[in-house]
Amino acid sequence: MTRGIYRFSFKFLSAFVGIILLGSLPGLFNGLSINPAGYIESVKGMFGTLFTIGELKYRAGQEEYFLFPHILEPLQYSLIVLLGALLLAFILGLFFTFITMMLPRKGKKGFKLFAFLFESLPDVFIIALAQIGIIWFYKKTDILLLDVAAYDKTYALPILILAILPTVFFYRIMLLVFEEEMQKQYIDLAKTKGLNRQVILMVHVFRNTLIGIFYHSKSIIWFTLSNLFILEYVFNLRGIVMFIFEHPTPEIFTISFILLFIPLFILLALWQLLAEKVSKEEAIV
Amino acid sequence: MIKRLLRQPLFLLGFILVSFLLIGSILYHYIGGDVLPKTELKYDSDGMLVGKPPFTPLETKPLGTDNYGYHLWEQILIGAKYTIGAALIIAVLRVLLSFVFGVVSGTYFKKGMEKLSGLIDSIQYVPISLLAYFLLLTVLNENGAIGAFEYSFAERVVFQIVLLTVIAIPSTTLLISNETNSVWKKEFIESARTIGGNRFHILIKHILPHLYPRLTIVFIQQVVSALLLLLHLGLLKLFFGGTNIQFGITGNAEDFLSTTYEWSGLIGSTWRYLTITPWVPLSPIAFFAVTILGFNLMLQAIKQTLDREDSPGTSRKNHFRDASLSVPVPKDEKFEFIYETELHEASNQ
Repeated sequence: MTRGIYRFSFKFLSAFVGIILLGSLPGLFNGLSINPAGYIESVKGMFGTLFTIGELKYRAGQEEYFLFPHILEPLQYSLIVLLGALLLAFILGLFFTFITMMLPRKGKKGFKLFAFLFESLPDVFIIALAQIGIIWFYKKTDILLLDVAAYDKTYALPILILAILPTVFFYRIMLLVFEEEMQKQYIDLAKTKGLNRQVILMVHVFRNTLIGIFYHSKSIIWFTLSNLFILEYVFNLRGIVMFIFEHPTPEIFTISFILLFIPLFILLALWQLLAEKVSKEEAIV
Repeated sequence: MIKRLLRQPLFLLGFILVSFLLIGSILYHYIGGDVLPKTELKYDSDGMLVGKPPFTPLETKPLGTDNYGYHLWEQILIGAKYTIGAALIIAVLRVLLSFVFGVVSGTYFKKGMEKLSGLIDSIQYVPISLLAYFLLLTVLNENGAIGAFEYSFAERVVFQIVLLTVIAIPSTTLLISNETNSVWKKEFIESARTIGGNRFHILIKHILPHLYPRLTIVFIQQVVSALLLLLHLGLLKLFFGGTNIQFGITGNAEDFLSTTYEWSGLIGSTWRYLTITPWVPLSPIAFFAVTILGFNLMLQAIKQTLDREDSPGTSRKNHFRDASLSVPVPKDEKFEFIYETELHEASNQ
């Protein structure tokens, strides 16, 4: 247990420092020349800012506002959309994986090819199609699903659009680890004992592949985060990434990503613990 | 490996897709002279005006025109060499540098790399396109105060390539370092050590040959990531080689133009017409998708070929079963202790 705490806190601290180092990067460049002394200064300044975080202000129009608690509102919105989309993608991916595993070999191949082709589509392409679709729908029915110019927050449609690509990613990963797991000998044993395929898949295979899925989930979360950025930009959503984009100072950039990083890190750590508990293996991360 | 790859239809398809665009674009530059046809107004046989730009793909084959009547297909063809070329150069630089750093750190600084990995992981929590955007903004954009570019075209291109390379070096180095490390842990390395090879000898003779095929996978992944990065930057109106901002009378930025016809510029400058003339921004985005698909096809083929080389013959499961059957099973045989008989023989003598 103490080892686990050490492991997580070390990772947490290094990622924390890493974000500060990244956020101070604009200080490194002075036009085209590189300025290491300026970089060290801005890293120092960034650490100093973190201690006086309550006094930090940002500009909007002519007025100056305190960063806290104003920043928490777009942060909350982004987190709900991001986590909602990830959860939806996980469930949908799992659902499609189960269906595919039930199919005969030929059907499986078709599904896999489709997922492969879909995976190559850039996020911008899908978001563009979504926007065209929304306008087309509006022209046909006079119902505007997502008002780009509106100031109030919508949740359902952004979550749905954001979930499209991660679903395909989760699906591909799950299918891969599921098929690998099905090759193992205990599956043969379970089959000979007369357990039906659904039970084997849902109980045993799912439990034992959690760790494998965990390894890949990190890159999926990262991908979805960068996807969220494009989504917020295109649909003009009032999220944290748009907040950074509208107030582009190194301090706001760094603080926003630290605030975004903390819940994601906790989530990943919890999932890792859960996956380790359930499958009784230690993840080497 | 190359021979095998060339026999794979997946690889060939991807390779042909990408090289068609790239070579076509280069040839069009040298032979076609980068001619950009323009259809301004269309008249029917009676001389009556029947249409003005933008023309849809159905009216002007194959992809239609933009608002000014310039044909899209030629724009995309002219731009392909910049976009694909930039992605290839960025990926080559990323892989070369990370290869050197990764092999050295994976061989000599294993412990240090483990400590650093947490730091490097932090990049995952920041969208890389947003970070690149902020770092490139001041150099690539036209300066609003002067109304001209602050840096020359070559300076901008070099700066962008260097920055987009460096930004991915830490994570790629970590990847290659781990990859190197896993080869060091293989059993045959142990035997090479026992025979007496020193670390450097083993690195050159045994580790590197196992790394090269893996590098091709990393390379293609990096090409795809560079393409996506260029696409995102294009959407944010930061074009490869600089953004030419047209200022209106009020001093607000009104129009964003790319200095070349590279694809991210084609997207960024026309994105606002997405719902009015969807084919104009969608065509370059679709070509991004096709290029990425081409590279992914090659990636898939390489992965499959490598898997097959790792476990030759039939699949691993059958192989295992055959092996277990071929082991002779001892049945009720009396054991004979060799050393006892030897002892007897020795005492008899």
